[in-house]
Amino acid sequence: MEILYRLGSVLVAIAVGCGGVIGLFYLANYAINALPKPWNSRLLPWVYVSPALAILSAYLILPTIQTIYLSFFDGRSQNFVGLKNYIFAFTDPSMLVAFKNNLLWLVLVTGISVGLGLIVAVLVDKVRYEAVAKSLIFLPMSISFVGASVIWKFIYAYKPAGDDQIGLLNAIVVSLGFEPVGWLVERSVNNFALIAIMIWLYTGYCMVILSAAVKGIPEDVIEAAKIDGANSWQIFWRITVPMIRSTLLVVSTTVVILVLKVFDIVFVMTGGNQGTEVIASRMIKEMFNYRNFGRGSAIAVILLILIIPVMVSNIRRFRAQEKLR
Amino acid sequence: MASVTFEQVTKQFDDFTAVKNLNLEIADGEFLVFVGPSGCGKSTSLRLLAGLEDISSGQISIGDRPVNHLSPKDRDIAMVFQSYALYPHMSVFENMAFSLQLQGLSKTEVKKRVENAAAQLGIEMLLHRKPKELSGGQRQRVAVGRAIVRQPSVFLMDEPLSNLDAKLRVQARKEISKLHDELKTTFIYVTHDQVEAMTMGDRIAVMKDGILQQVDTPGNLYNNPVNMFVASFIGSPAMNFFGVEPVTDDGKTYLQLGQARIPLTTKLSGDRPITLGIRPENIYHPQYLPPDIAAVEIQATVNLIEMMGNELIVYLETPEKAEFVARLDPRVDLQSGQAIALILDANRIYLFDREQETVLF
Ligand SMILES: Nc1ncnc2c1ncn2[C@@H]1O[C@H](COP(=O)(O)OP(=O)(O)O)[C@@H](O)[C@H]1O
Ligand SMILES: [Mg+2]
Repeated sequence: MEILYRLGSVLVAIAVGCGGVIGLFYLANYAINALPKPWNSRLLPWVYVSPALAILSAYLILPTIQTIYLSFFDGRSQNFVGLKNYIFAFTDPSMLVAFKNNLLWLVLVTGISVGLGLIVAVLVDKVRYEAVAKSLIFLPMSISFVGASVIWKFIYAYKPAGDDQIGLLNAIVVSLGFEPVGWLVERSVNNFALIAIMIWLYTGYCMVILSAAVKGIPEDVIEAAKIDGANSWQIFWRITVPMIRSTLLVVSTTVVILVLKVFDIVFVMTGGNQGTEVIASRMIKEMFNYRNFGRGSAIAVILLILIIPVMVSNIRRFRAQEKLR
Repeated sequence: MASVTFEQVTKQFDDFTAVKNLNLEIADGEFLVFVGPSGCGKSTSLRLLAGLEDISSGQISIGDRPVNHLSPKDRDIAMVFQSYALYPHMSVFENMAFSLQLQGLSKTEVKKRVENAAAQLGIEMLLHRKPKELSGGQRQRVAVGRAIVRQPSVFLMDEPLSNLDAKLRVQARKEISKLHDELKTTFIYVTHDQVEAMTMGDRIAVMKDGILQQVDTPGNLYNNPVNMFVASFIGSPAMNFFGVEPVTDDGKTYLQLGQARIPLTTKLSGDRPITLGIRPENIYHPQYLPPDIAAVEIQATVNLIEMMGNELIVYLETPEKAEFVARLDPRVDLQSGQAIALILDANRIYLFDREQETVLF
């Protein structure tokens, strides 16, 4: 009975919600059409865009302003402290580690996932079971960061020497006659171990987007290059790469943005210990573990400022690409 | 410069045969045109020669060198594609220089050769532009330019003019012919347009359904087609065909075409059904007869008239409802629906075996 009642309310809510939105648009449209000639067509787009704009500002722009405001106050948001939080963010040793690690993440994840994605995209173009191969590589993309982290926790699992190794990597290492490695605690490898997870997750994404671009290159342009005397290597560097340049840039910047935001992998795998902190995980820690709203907000603002230029260039390129169509 | 030989060349796509047993020798310096309806295997033949497709069986040689197992770049050929296939991210100069750079020529040599080729084609002022900033005609020239800078021994062109408008096409046709005269290299040219084939080719190879029908000079193809397909493909409007019955009267053999009787000079062997072919230009109005024809009168009704200015294309049908076309003197005054008598030139008829569709003599 209870469940039927709930189901009923869900259906009513959906009907009212959707119906309400449709009714709203319908009414607005009606009102606009009643307006005199030049005005109705000019106002019409705004009527349709305004609900989206309103929701965007309520959930994105206002919190952003709030965050910026908070970043100039102390931990409990009571006293104005000027730039103190920012000075902390750029001088505190744990923050410096986070910056350094994030740079490593940026270079390795972007470089390897885009590079590997491109190579696979070009090679898979010639494979017979292309769809199967692509699906396999794309598969990790559908797994959440947390899910992926759980999977990789098993791959990296460590038991002291002598015990049975349940982790895939250590099982291999031990069977080759070496000592097991604490992949997530050993400072020389733990950052790379985390970075590998994100590469595994995003190579598929890069490959799929780049593969579409590679397929967009007309076959006869490649044939012309073959007749002109280019070998596969020269075709790759002098025809394929320049022709998909704008897609390469869009994919790279997208990955850069994703990397700047990464925290889940670190959070689940190491909790940021043993020198694996990144900017975003540091922010979460300040905000929710230490409840220092000022510092947390300042780090958030820094992240935002880092992302904006990448975002802008990404949008610009996307527009330029659209124009070419 | 090199000759090209196809020996028993067959190309199979899965269970579909695109080119079947092609035998063809193309002389050094010749301008050979492959012509035929869309899908007949012209492009495939050219791509086999270029090395863009693998041969299923047979052998292709360039000069005296078998090239079956050579990659395109080692065949010393250049190709102009129907889509032009210019490199969109490179300027015209870079497009033309690409193959030379890959050959490792010095910068000054590359520059010299690109500029010479550009001058020859009249595209010097376009060298710094990107392909998308060019008109269709300019792109076509750049595509030709990219081929000639390499100074290959064989030029391959796959319908290079089909994306141009009619006027530009006529002009580009002349330019390519002129280029051939200047370069004196072997040109192999693919087109579906018989006018292009007739005006440009030293010899024309007519293909149908992957099978080479006839290779000959334009004049010989027009005058001595080996079968009904070649007869109808070459010439526009196409040759008319009528089913005719041989009759013997007074010891003489005639072909009965409706009421008309066409005297036969040669003796027919056997008793097979015959198709008679006559070109629209060998049908005349009685008022405008040229000298030296063997006149045979036939009756017809006018269906449709197209006034071209220099000639009249008239669509007619015989009382037996066989449709045909005639090219008449433009001074003739006709109305559609009108019944008239026209004159065939019996010296210019072709006789074909109706089943085999091959010419009888
Ligand atoms: N890569 C291919 N795979 C399968 N069939 C093909 C392929 N290329 C061409 N064909 C077929 O071969 C025939 C001849 O093609 P083509 O040589 O391109 O004809 P055209 O004379 O119009 O240039 C066509 O029926 C075409 O469908
Ligand atoms: Mg073709």
